Amino acid sequence: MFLSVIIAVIMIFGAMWTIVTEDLFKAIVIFAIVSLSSSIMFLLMQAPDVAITEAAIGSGITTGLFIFTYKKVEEEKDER
Amino acid sequence: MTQVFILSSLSLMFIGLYGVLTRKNLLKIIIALNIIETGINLLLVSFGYIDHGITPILTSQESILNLNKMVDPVPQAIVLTSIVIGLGTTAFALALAIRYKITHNSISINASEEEEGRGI
Amino acid sequence: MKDETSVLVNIIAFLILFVIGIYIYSVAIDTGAGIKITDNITPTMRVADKYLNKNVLDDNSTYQWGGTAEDTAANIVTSVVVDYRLFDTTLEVIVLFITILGFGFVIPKDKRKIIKPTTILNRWAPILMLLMLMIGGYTFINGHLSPGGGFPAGAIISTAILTGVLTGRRTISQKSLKIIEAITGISIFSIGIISYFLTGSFFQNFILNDKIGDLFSGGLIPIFYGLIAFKVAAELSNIYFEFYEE
Repeated sequence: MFLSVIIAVIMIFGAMWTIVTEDLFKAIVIFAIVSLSSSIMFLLMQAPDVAITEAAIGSGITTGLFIFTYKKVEEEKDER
Repeated sequence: MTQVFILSSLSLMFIGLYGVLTRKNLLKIIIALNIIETGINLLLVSFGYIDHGITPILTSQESILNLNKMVDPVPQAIVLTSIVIGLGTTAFALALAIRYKITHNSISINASEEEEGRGI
Repeated sequence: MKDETSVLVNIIAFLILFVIGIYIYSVAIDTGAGIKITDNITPTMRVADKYLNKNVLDDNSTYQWGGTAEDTAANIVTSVVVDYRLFDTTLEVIVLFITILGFGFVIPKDKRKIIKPTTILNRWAPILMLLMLMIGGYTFINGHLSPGGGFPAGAIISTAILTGVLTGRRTISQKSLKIIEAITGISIFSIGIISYFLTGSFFQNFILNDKIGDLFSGGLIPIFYGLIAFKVAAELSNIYFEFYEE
């Protein structure tokens, strides 16, 4: 009960931060945290199959694709 | 317990919808769409949850005797496939965003309207 | 990038969504005379009862641990995904294939220089790839006994290829990925046709008399999960190759 409330609070504040923040890279990384905590939520709902899939696909590969796109889109602007 | 799950998933959905309605950056909109998708997946699985339910995996003879305490496996099976489809549609949307960047040289959704001469 | 939206638009959107959210939440929780979500619904009131008791074909079947049942997968989510509702899963894999095809058409092919990886990453990449392949194989081989299955296994196997792409190693060519995808897609449907000729209905499990809980149980389920895992892995690996087109 406590754990689910804590995870829900983390998830909701992370989603708000993702929408509100101005930095695009920060938004992508915080979205990964939201996705990972949603996979813990799936585990608390007694759905371990969905939790594994969400952790692998929703939190891993989607974040990777977003970062690839970020590098393609922003690479002319900031040359490090 | 079910109320916590339903409330958190619904608020995730509406935060994502707020982001889709008000943001101007294309990648931000795609992230907001992904947040909506996560919320809907959580909502579907939480409909199948019952209090003090156990995982729908047989481990011994005892779990076969407790079949009516297990949570509903059908929403879990549907969400399992929906996550994978979500990855495919996200990849397609990101490819469209890269195309948009190349044609309009900007990633704000105002760029296409400014080119046609009408601002917001 | 700054989002220059006016404050008024934000407030209006927030208010509208707040009202709709409260309405939907109250509908989902409180009102209505029928069965509410927060009631203690037992699976005997739902369609899942048939799946849990494994009596879809035969109404009065009961089963024991270590005995035989209708389809002998210990993980009931797996038996719903790959046995009872396999049409959903195959059509979903086709939807994934179509989106990846559209991705390949839409994404622009420009030249991109790959930054050379550091020595540590370059040396450790083969070991990491082997570990990924091993974990992915474990995930789909044990998909009918424990949490896991074809979709996360495909994702994990594709991360092995991603490691190879990032370090600039030639692991597998895009052409052979397409061949793998075609072979797995064709063999899923040809197994379906074989089971139609053997049992009379499409995608029905025709390997019977296994024991629940054994590694070699579940009939066709591990085969289908292996095929799905390799198809998903090939499709996801296509995305990485399209991003890093030389």
